[in-house]
Formats: sequence, C-alpha cells, structure tokens
Amino acid sequence: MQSLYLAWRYISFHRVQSFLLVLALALIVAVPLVLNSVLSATESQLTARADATPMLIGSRGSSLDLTMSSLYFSDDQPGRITLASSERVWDSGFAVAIPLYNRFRAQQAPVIGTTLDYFDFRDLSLAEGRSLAVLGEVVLGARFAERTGLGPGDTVITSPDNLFDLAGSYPLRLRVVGVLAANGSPDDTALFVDLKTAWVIEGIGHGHEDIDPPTDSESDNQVANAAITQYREITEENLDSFHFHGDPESYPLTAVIADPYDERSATLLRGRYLDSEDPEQLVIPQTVISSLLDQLFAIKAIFDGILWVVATATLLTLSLTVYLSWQLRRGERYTLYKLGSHRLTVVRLLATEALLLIALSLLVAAALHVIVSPLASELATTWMVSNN
Amino acid sequence: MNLKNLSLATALLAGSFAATNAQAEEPVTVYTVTQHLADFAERLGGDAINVTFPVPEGQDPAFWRPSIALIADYQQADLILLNGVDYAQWVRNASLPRRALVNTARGLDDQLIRTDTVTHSHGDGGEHSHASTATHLWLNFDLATAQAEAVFSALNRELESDLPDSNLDELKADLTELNQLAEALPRGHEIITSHPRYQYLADRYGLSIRSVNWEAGATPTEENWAELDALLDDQAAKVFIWEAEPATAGDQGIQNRNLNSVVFAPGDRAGTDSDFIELMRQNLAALQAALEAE
Repeated sequence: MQSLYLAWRYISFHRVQSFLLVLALALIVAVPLVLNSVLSATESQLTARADATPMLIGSRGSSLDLTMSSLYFSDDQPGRITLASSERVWDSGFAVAIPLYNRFRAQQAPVIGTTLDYFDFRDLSLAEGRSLAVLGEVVLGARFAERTGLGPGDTVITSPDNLFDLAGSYPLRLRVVGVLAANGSPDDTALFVDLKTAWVIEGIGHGHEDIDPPTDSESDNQVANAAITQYREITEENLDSFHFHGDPESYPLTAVIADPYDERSATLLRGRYLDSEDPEQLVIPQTVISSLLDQLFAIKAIFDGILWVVATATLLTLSLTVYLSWQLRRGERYTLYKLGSHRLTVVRLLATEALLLIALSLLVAAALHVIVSPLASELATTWMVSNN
Repeated sequence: MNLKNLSLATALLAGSFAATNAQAEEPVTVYTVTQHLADFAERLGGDAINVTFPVPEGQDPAFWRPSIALIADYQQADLILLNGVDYAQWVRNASLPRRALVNTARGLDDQLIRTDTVTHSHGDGGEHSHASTATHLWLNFDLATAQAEAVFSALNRELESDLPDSNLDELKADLTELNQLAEALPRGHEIITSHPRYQYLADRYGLSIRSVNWEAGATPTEENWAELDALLDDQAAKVFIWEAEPATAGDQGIQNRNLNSVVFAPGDRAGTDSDFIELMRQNLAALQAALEAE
C-alpha cells in the first residue's frame, strides 16, 4: 500500500511526463482496437444490408455503383433503366419487383422514389403519421426527421438539379405525411416518395390549367396556351390536373430490387440475365459487398503491418525513455537505500509506478475505444458509401 | 397428467387448429375500380374472396376521387383490379402497392382505340401532344373476356390454389353469348349516344355511333340540344342511347326529334340491380328493339 502511495505521488508530481507516457501507451493499444471495431462495424452494416437484398437489377455497368446507390442511397448514378425492367420481373412470375429511383436530394438527403412494396420488403413501420397516399407526399427516415425537426404537416423542398440549368427539374415542395421508426439502416437518413412523385420532380408528370375547348375549326386538336402554369407544389386542388406523358413503362428508374419467391425462382430469374448483350444486369449485392470487403481487408492487412512496425518503434522509444529515466533516478534509489529501504522494496516501488502507468494507459485506451469507435464506424461507413 | 389436464390440453390443441384453419381460410380481399370487374371477380372467386367496389351509387367511377382513408383501404387489399387505359383517373395520382395491382388491360394495347389528342406546351419545351385512349373496353365482349381471364389468373395466383376452371368457362360462355347478341344487332342505322363511351361497341360490332357529351341523368340544356341538332343536321340518326335513365324532359326532347330513345348502361357504375351479364343482355335487347322499331 505504501509503494502504491509513493508511486502515485511520484506520478502526480511528474504529471507532464506521466501524461505523455500514458498517452503514448494508450494510443499504441487503442489504435488497433478502434481500427478493428470500425472495420467490423462497417463490415456488419454493409453485409446486413446486402444480405437483406437478394437481387438487384440495373443498367449494365458498374455493379458496385448499382449496389451502393440502391442499398445505401449513395450519390453514385448508375445508368438508367425503365419501369419496363420492373414489369419484366413481375411478368416472369419469379420475384416481387421493387423499383427504385435515386436521383433527387432534399436538405442533403436522398429522396428515394419507390412503391409501397419497399416498406413491406424492408419491414419499415411508421413512428408518426400515415403512409404515402397521393402525389406530392413524403415519408421521412427517422434520423432525417430528428436532424431537421420535421414531422407530419410540415413541408420539405427538393433541391434543384442544377442552378444554371433552367430546363432541369424544378424543385417540388413535398408534404410530410409520416416519419418512419428508426431501424439503424440507410433508410433512416432518406426521404421516401411515391415513384410517380419522383417522376413529377423529373418533369415527366406535371399539372396545368384546364385546356379550353377546341377553337381551331380546321382540326379536332385542342391547343393550349404556351403560358400554362407549372406547378411546384401538388395540392388537393390541383392534384387531378397532374398527368404523365408517354408510355409509363418508358419512365426512368435507377434499379429494381428483385425478391424471389423461392430458391428455384431465384435461379430461373438469374438465368434470364445471363446474356451479355442484355442492356440490364442482375447482381447479387452479397457478392458485390463481399468483394468490396475483401479489398478492404487486403488494405487492412497492409495497414496492420505498418501499425506493428510503428508500435514496435514506439515501444522501443518508450523503453529507451524508461531506461534513461532509470539511470537518471540512480541517486534517488541510492537515497532510499541509505534510508534503510531494502533493494527489493526499491524495485517494487518502481514496478508499482510502471504498473500504475500501464493501468492508466489501458483505461484511456478503453475510453478512446468506447468513445471513438461508434463515431468512427459511422464516418467510415458513410465514407465507404460515398467513395465507392 | 390427470384426466382434467388432458382434456384441457386437448381443448387447447383443438382451439389452436381451429384458429389456424380460420386464418388459412380468410378470404382474399379484392378491391376494384369498376362494377363490371367486381362482378367478374365475384363470379370467378366465389366465397374464397371478398370483393369491394367502394364508388358510391350515382358517381362516375372514371372521375371519382377516393378519400385518403379509402385509399388506405385500397392499399390494404390483397388485389386491386384495374381497368387500365387510365380509367379511374385517381389511380394515376395515388400510391398503391404494385404487388396488389392487376391491370386487366395489360397485353391488349393493339386492340385499344385511340381518341382525341390534346396539344399543349410547358415553358420553353415546345408544343407536344398526348393521345388518349377510349376506356370502356369491356363493351367489346372479346376484350371483356380477356379481362375476365386476367382476373381469374390473378385470383388463382393470390389464392395459391386452383379455382375451378368451370368458373371461368361459364363466364366466358356468357360473354360469348353477349358477343353473339351484339353481332346480331341490325347494322346500317345511325346511332347517337349521350356520352362518348361506346367506341368499342361500335368498333367491334360494326355500329355507326356518334356522340354528344351530356351529363348522365341531367336535363339537357339549350346548348346540349343545339349540339345534338348540329349532329342531326349533319346526318340523320335513328337511335339515341342514354348511359343512364334520362330525365323526362330529356327523353321527351329525343322523341320530339324522331329518335328512338334507349338506355344502355355501360356497367361500370354501382347501383344496378343486375349483374354485368344480365345488364348487358337487357342493354342489347333494348338496343335491338330500338334499332328494329319504325
């Protein structure tokens, strides 16, 4: 007990040196721990989402872009497909098809156009309000709602495509009708609209004033004024005037989630996308994410090697510091000896100091691990999603 | 285990089986956007399904808009039977689960009739047109048969069991009979209808039909009569078809113009006493009588 008291007094007296020693040791321990936690959290988050999404259909091209955009709502823009791709899956009778259109943003969050089937598929429930019912409505992810303080009854405006592109999509003011319960996935940070609302933002669907009866006696065509009003908000009053042009099956999507009815259906559906001339591809998110993680772990192995070298160098430096300190404290040891302390008592005193420093370092390392890991995991997942 | 406990366990087990069976036998919920599809579904699905056609009597299902609560009811349905071709305009602006939607006009594109074209422009986008499609396709009974087949197939899929083929065969036989009745209608007479809803009837059965655009059941205004007189000046007609029972003054005005007045209900609205097949039999018989009358 006496040794502990004396050791503590010594550490307290030399607090700056002790602090630096504790910090150096704590960092050596904490960095690999945090790194491992971050990687394992990132892995489990990415894998869980991929595991829960059996198949994705999208434009032939980067399967990683397609997966990142469809599962994690990243900014990646895979090539467009059309609603016909979704109908193709339905017509096959092998899977439920859930179309996704991830192109627009509102307050830095993705606005996902989809059908109500998405909410059933992801098992998303409402914490507040109601589900989407008509054009112009939006349901918010839990974290987006928390971040912005928005809820049912409020409105949110989509971001313009490009400030300098006057022909680009107009912002649309969306009515918030519900907030989803948090489920710890990218759904928490997104906004969900009906696919048709997304097409209104795109400019494919629009409303305008009533067209007058024919005035041109030479033709049956009805000719409307070029100054027809473009609505930027869908209200109860103008809802019925909204309509879409062209064949609905030609309207754009970024992906289709395919949820096969059984193993046999999954195999048969995959067989339909084997033709390399097919403009669409079918990807298995699990495979894509697994390949991404393999790359990540290859990088981690290199990083681990570097970390070991740095840790060894730091430990050697610390050993040198301890040795020099031991030499500098020769007089102190001699005084203790002269005062009647046994040689072993002196050794025990110094050992207690070392143990105290190590214990403090481990405490700091544990604290760093607990505090930094969750934040770093989130940052790492966000970084992974936005940079792949 | 004593006898009392054994009988309690047996009772609980029996109760559990009964609950499971009741759950398994829970009827499939079907919502439709027209009365004729509701009639088809009821005939094809029988007791295995619960059919709801929520459009109130007197409302035109093509232009009716449901409340948010009713849209929520549609969202909960196992199947939503659509007529397709943009009939029931509320559907295009509503959020409905795709898993439940059945477009009974899917695959019939090449048999649909294109109608008026609307031309307009938006901002600097230049003028563009979009054609509309005649919506009452079931008045061509071949297309009605295709719709019945689509309904049958969807019900079979949803019930995960085979409905008796005889259900479909009997309905198809009735529709074939309607086809024969319509094909037997006298040709060569001009017909005017109170609303442009009969394009498929005219096209399939070789009838010469022109239309005014009158509100069903309302007394025609001076403007309405002028519209009709202009058509008659252009070419005389023998029969005037109302889509719903006309107001007395309206019927009188038709008879004053030497037209045989007949009601031919399209069968999409709620509130008729007969089912679709019987209603069409009555329609065709009345039309035949009007065409053959002096």
